[in-house]
Amino acid sequence: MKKRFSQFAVLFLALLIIVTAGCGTPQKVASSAQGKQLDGVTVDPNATLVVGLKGPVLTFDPANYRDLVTESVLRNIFDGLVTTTPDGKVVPEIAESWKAVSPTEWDFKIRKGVTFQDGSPLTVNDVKFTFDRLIKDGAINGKTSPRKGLLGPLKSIQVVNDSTVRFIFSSPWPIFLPMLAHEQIVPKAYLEKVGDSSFAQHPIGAGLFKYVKGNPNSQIVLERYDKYYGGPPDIPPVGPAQVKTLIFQVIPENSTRLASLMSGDLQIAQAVPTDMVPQLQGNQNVVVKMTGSTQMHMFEMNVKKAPFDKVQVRQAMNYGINMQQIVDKVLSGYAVRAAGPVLPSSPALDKSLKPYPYDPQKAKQLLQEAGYPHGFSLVIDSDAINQVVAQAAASDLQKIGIKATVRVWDWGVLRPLLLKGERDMVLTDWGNSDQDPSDLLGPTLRGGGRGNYSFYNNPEVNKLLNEANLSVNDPERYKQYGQAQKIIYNEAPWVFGYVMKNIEGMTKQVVNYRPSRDSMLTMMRVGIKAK
Amino acid sequence: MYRSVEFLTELKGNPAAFIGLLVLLFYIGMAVFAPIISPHSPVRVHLDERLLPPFWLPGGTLSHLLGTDVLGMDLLSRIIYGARISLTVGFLSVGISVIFGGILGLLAGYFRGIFDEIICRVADLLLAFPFLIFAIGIMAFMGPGFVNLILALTFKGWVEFFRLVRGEVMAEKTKEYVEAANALGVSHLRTILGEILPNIIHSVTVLGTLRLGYMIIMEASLSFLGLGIQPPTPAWGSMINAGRDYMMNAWWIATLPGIALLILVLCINLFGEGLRDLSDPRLKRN
Repeated sequence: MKKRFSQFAVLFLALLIIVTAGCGTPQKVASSAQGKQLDGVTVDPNATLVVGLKGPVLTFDPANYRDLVTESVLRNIFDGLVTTTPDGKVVPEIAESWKAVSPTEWDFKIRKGVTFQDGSPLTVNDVKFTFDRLIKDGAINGKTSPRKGLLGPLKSIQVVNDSTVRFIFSSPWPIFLPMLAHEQIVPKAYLEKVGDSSFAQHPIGAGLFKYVKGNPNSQIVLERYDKYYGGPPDIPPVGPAQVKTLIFQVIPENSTRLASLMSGDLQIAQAVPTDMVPQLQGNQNVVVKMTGSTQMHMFEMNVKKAPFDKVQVRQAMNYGINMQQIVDKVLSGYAVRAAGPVLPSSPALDKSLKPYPYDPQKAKQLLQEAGYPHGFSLVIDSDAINQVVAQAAASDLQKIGIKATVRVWDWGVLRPLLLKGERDMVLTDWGNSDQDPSDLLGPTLRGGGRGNYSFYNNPEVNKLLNEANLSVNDPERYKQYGQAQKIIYNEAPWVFGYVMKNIEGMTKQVVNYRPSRDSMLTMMRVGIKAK
Repeated sequence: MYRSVEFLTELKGNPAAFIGLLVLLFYIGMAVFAPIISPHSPVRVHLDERLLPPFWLPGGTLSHLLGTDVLGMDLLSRIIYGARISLTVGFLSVGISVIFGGILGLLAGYFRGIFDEIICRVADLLLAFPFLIFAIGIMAFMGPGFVNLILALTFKGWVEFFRLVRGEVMAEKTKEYVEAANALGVSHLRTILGEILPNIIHSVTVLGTLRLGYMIIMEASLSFLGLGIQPPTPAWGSMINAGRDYMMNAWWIATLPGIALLILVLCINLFGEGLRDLSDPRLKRN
């Protein structure tokens, strides 16, 4: 307790010094004289940038988590071989270039002069070590990395020479590059010296900011790494971070997080609820920016159990829920409807599919055909965040005679029940950051997929998905996905849903920041206006 | 009849308690006649009328006096129906606790012995847990729902009534009228129910009233945490939770059910304390 108090005291003093340093007139002149130009604005190189997170960080070990908020913080400390622009384009980061030697072998050339934050150079051995740790069973304190599944058929990594590593796959994998952006390089020597647990508390990476201190549940303090190699040349301007200190503040309560933004305690707040956008837009100090996201929301129906074993019932649900109204009203229009199971922004989208129209009469008729003229009782499962949408859907279903109610669960309790097939209908979402269907339909709609809560298992769809997964010829793959989308659309194992906008708020002092499609919070070229 | 008139007259001497009683009766009336007096269905979703403010604010309408929530459900109707949930849960959980704890307390206090020992240790064990955490554990284990909620609240709620009744019975048992009944050969059952019970019932009533407010708070807390009554059934706790995220743009969603809860519990407690003062002869003389 005492220790924590003194930590806070030090932090407070540090902040005080930073603040007062900015206030004194002589320093002010000096700092703006030093200030660099960014996006046509002079930025303060000694500034502190505070970012409000919607949830805690689970670990500082980039190989030992499966969580979006954690990744969005870690990518400031660690760099990967490749990264993505806010629009989702894959660009080289630590890798200088790459080429496919064969359909199952990729060579990556590593940039020279990259160092970890302890000063040691980043070499091909660190890269091999990082990926071995991710795919070998029991590599982290006897446990297998939860991220292993994100690397698909990756079999092994070979060091070719002192600047090249080779990735070897057991089968061709078309989405390797976008998936690679999710993995960051760790220092072999340091990690082997201190061990996995200690590394997760005192991380060292090759990223923009070095870890100073923090509590993953409340506040994480990072500081600019001055010897940073500069980052991806495709995202200018190359160079170290534009702010001196980067603080992530965990504020799960939406209204508290946004109040902190409006009062200026935060400079950036993630996850602005749609209903708060007008409020923030009305504030003089705040700017709201948004982009499409890659999180598909849908109602999955258990096709193994009555009544959803009948395709007419599942179609009736699609006709009976007024999804357009949910998007327009409940989500204030900050979402895009998906006609089928593929992201509307995906290049593999079958544009001939149109969303199911809202048609309660047709829904009733389909229910009658399926033998449910008087409807049935239904509990829609949801988590707390999506429960308003679930309630709106339940109220629509009541109009076609289905006695629908909503049950709100903790995901950790609900997921095992879903996997056992004990539930009927769940409103859930699935992240698809590379926008390729293999990473969305594969896990959720292929027989035996790890997120297949509908237990949909159509041999023809399985075959199409498997074939598309092995091909590297995009037009051909997209054709196969197109066929799969049509079948899934007609068999309707989901009530097809929507993709939310990713909305973030920031103060007017923030320079050159915009939200990313994949919700990352990388403060790579972001500055604070000089006073 | 004479006794209730006398009781009311005495209660009038304590204005706080009297107001408490009136407000409690008002809430009970609201709960009983909810279908008649509420202007809308409490679960009717109307997405065109989302987040309407109460009528006295700009943008408010008289058809939704207290405004609407995030799904366009009428807040006034939901608060009225919410009184049903709160009072039903409160009265049921206190009632079951009184019956269960009271019977055990009468038997344990009268007969003592090994039975008393066992029940007392069980009671001690249950008392060692904080109420809310205990209830959260039970609800997480059994899952949300009305019946489970009552069970979770009574599972520990009976202990206080047990201890109170047991203590009172042990004190009464030494008094002469009990000894006289025993000497006359009255059966144990008749002694307990006919002689002792009427002499201790007033303290049970007082404790019951005070616990009523507490149980209502507990129900609201569990519903707030998502473990109690499930949406869209209107319960004040879950309404407050649902409105939490809208404090900045629609404060009324969380605030108004909170005020309804505050007034009810406050008045129950004022009434309970007045009742306690009345039943305490030492305070009565003043």
